[in-house]
Formats: sequence, C-alpha cells, structure tokens
Amino acid sequence: MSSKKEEVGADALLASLIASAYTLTDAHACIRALADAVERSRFGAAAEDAARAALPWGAATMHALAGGEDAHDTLTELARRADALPVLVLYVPAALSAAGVERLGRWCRANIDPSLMLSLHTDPAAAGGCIFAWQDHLHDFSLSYFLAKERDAFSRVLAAHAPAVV
Amino acid sequence: MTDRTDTRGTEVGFIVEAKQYVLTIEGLPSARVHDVIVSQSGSRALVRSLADDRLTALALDPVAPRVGDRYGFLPDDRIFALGEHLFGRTITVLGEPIDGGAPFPAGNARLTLDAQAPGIDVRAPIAGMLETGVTLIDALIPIAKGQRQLLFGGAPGSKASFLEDVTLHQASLGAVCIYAAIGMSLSELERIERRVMRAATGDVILIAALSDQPSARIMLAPAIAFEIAAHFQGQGRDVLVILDDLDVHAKYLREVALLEGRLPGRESYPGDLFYEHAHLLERAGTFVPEFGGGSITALPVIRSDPNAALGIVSTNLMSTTDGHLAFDPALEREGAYPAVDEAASITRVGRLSQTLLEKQLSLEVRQRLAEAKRQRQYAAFGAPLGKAAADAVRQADIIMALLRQRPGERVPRDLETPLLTLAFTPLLLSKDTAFAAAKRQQLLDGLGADPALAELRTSAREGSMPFDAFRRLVEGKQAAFEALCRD
Repeated sequence: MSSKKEEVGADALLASLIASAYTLTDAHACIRALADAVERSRFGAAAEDAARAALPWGAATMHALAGGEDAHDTLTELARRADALPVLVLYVPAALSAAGVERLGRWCRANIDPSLMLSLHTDPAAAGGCIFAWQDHLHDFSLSYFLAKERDAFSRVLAAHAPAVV
Repeated sequence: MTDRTDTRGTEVGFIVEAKQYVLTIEGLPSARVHDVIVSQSGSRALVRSLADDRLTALALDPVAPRVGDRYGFLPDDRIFALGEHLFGRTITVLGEPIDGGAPFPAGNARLTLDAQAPGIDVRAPIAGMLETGVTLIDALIPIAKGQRQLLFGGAPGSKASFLEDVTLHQASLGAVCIYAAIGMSLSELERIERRVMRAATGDVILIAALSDQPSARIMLAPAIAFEIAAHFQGQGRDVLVILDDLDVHAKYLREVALLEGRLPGRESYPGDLFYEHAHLLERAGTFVPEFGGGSITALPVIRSDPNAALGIVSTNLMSTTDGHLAFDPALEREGAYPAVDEAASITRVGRLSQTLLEKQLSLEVRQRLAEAKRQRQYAAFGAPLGKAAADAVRQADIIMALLRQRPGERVPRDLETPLLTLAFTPLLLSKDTAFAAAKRQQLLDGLGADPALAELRTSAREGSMPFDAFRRLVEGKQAAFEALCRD
C-alpha cells in the first residue's frame, strides 16, 4: 500500500517539475529545494520559511510530504525519474537569459517531446550556429564545423583567386 | 538494416560520475569493451564495462574529468602504429614516442587488450635456447625460446643488471626485445635507456609506463608488450618480453578494481588477478611456420623474497610460468653475479633446448654442487672433512668461480661448455679456487681466439659428443690451456 501511495506522489511531483523547469540543472535545484524544505519543516523551522523554500510545489505539497514517512524515498524516486526524462544537450556560444531558456524550452516541448529537459552548455566552438546531442548522437551545426568540412574547397577557391595569399 | 558502425561517428556520451580516473558515462550505445573514446578536449579513455544505459571508462590521459564532459568515438580506432619504426625507441603504452625522436607514422592497429592466446594447434615443440650470455643460467638453469621464466628477488640491483645483459645479448643475436617498465620512476627508466637503449646493437623497444602516469595506462603495459610481441612473432622473429615488474602491475590492478567498486578478493586484489596474468603469459610460446613461426619468450619479474614467496602474486605467477630464477639478496651482498641461487631456481622446459653435451655437463655440475653443499652441511657440525669431501668442496668452489662473471660480460654459448669442462680436468683440479677465478678471463679469451682450441668450440656448438669424450678432448688440449694461463 505504502509503495503505491509513494508512486502516485512521485507522479504528481514530476508533473509539477516538468511544468516549472526546462533544464536538468533547474529540475535538480527544485528537487534539492523541496528536500531542504522538508528537512526544515521536520526540524521546526518557521512554516512560512519552509514553504517559501518549497517552491514551485507550494506549502501544501511540502507539508504533505513532510508529514509522511516515505518523503526521502519519494524524493529519490523523483530525482531518478527526472534523470530518466528525454534530454536535449545543447551547446550554445553564449549563455541564454532566463526568458530565452523558457522560450527555447517551450519550443522544444511543443515540437520534440512534451517532457523534454534541456542540458545547456556554453561553448564558443558553437559560434554561428549550435551543437546538440539528441538520443546519444551529436549534431554539429556550428560555423567552425562547416568551415572545417569545406576546408579543401576554401583552399581551392583561395588558390584560384588569391594565389599569393595561399 | 543499418550497420551499427555507421552511426558510431556521431554517437556521444556524457560523464555522469567521475571517481578520480574512473568515469561513468551515459550514452555511446555502440561502445564495446576496450574501445578508446575521446573527449571534446582530446583526452582519451578506455571502456572497461558496459551496462544498459551507461558504461565505465578509465581516463588514459592525466586530466581532471568533470561531470558533463562529452565523449565520442575516435574517427579511426587504429591508434597504434606497429612496425619496425618502434625499434630503438621508448614509447608510452599508447604507442607514442617519448624519447624526443622522430614521430611515428599513422596508426595501423587497434588497441587489442583481450587477445586470446594461440591454441595448441599452432604451437611448436620447444627447441632453441634463449641464450642469456650468463654461464650460470645457460649451463644450469637454461631458458628455452618460448618459455615463461619468472625472475624474483628482493632488491632490483643484480636482477636489473641481469635483465640488461639478457636484453643486450638477445638483441645482438637478432631477437626483438621488448622491455616493459611497469610503474617505474623516471630515474629507473633513464637507467634502462642509458644502459640498454643506447648500448643495444639490435631491435629493442622500451615501453614506459611510469609511476607518474594514470594508473589505467600502467595497467595496460603488459598487454601492449604482448601485442607488439605478437606482431613481430607473426613475422617469424624471436621475441623476448620482459615485464618489470608484475608485482607493481598487480598493485595497479588492485587500485583500479577497488575504485571501480569490484568485490575485493585475497589481499584486496581483484578476484580475477590470476586470469589477468595467466591469459597474458599464455601468449608466450614457439609457433609453427603457418602461424608466422618465431617465438615469444616471457620474463616476468616480481620483487619478492624468494625464501618467503607466499604472496598471492608470486604464487600465482609461479603456477603460471615454466620455472623461476631466484635472486638471492645474500649472494648479491657478497658481490656475486648473477646473484641467482641455482638450488632454489627451477626450469621446467629449458633443458629441452640443451644439446646432449650441455645436458650431461649440466648434470655433472649440479651433482658436484649438491655434493659440496652436503659436505659443507656435515662440516657445519664440526666434523673435519676427509680428502674426498675436501676435494668435492674445492671442485665446487672452482666451478662457482667459473660460473660467476662481471655484470655486462656476456659469454658466447660455445665457450661456456669448454670453460666449465675445465673444472673436470687436471688443469684446474690440481689448482685452487683463486687460480680458477684469476685465470677465468684468460681462459675465456683464449677459448674464443686460439686456433688450437677451435675444435673445442666446434664440438661444443654441435653438442652431440658425450660429456666424457668431450672432457678427454679438453684434457688433450692441456698444453694450450697451460700456455694461456702462463701469459
């Protein structure tokens, strides 16, 4: 009986998590915040402080979790499920703003997978495009990749039109 | 159907956990055990085990891996360049030169770490002797080509000199010598480079798996040595592989296994330690021409007291090899070279490589040495020695004086037999040990150069003459030997 209740709890929590976090980093930060709020609540912190820390789930979820005996198991299961979500690893040349991340996250969920999580990395090598890994395969759409790919063609053009430079 | 290898070029995996150099990576679904993968910054790692959605890899380059680092497959997994360009070079276990010499050509071989030993159908009977140039070994504890002979002893001094001499002698005879320096310090490597690589007149390869390199690299050194050896054996060459030393190698295996979280066995070594060493040493042997001919002789080394060799590594290796040479610290302290205790040493197949003459001479010498040892034990109780016993002890001392040589001195095989036979002739039996020791070099020089003694060299080389007949032949040359001793 206990395990069934725990599973339902993890499902609901995961749905909230997907709705409020677009990156894996944010998702794990939220789970850590919830775990921290549960701990605070159990050790007598002011209710409003603990509830504030429990965002985005809110005070009701946090109190329900803190009152149960299997909070730790539920949170562990939640972290495991978050890790099992489909992840798009994206390399961008410069850090995105929070609004940019949200816009990108929404677009990806609408067009690729509704439960997709982003794993964002800043990599100058991605300048002029982007690099992403999806389902264990890397797709390089950076300018440097295409320049390297067409290196021979560039050399030929330069040799034909500017032999002194070559 | 899509070929699995088609998609390997774009496959990626990401580090999800890193414990020092042990990496847990998610992704790379086509990875195979022992694949070399490379990060976006160019550092390499060796795939060790596979699970459903992740794999474990060992970092091969000295970098600090971080969670999230991306790994992919190499565009070409033939990272190792096998060939004659390796001769005279010092290389890492990944085949990169570190001696400041010319760069190597592009790789032409995969890193094969789990090759199966050749089967019995391609093995040939033991035939030739692995000449060491050390009289005591060649005469009393011979090592055959294709044999696996363990060397163990405490301090590295005499053992190191012996290994250097064997390497130089074998290289001068045309063998390929591969010296794997496992877990050594830079100063130890420098000594080998100076004394072996610069002095060698033949094909020597030094594999440097230094103690400052990642443990995963050191762990691979013996397998790489055998992979190179198998390449040249396949070309019909005789190959000598020196693994110095496997005790250190076992400690690195233990470290890696414990970090990987594998269940520890006896003395915390991994449970498959015996397999790790045995499946390597099984690759030694002599092979039929259809398999390339040639041979691989293995000389694994361990640093252990031969009188207390009860450790798991030494007992494992003793049961895997075809005999052992016991280097005695007491003999080394006396300045004896080689400091090998012949009574505690064993060769299980080496005598098959000796000629009839060498076998009979070896038997005579060992009987004399054993008899003298027995007489000394009696004398230890205070009983005076009779004339026969005293003569036996003196003859054994003369034999030992002829068997001891200087480090760096290499005695050709066809001189070893007549030299030792002199200990059974009146020339030396009528003299004392000091005379034998003092005249040994003159006798050797004369045996090598004097035309009057050429018949002895020829007969020793052929080896079909019985020992008694050969002794009479040597006695017949007494005048020539006396002339040598007078000079």
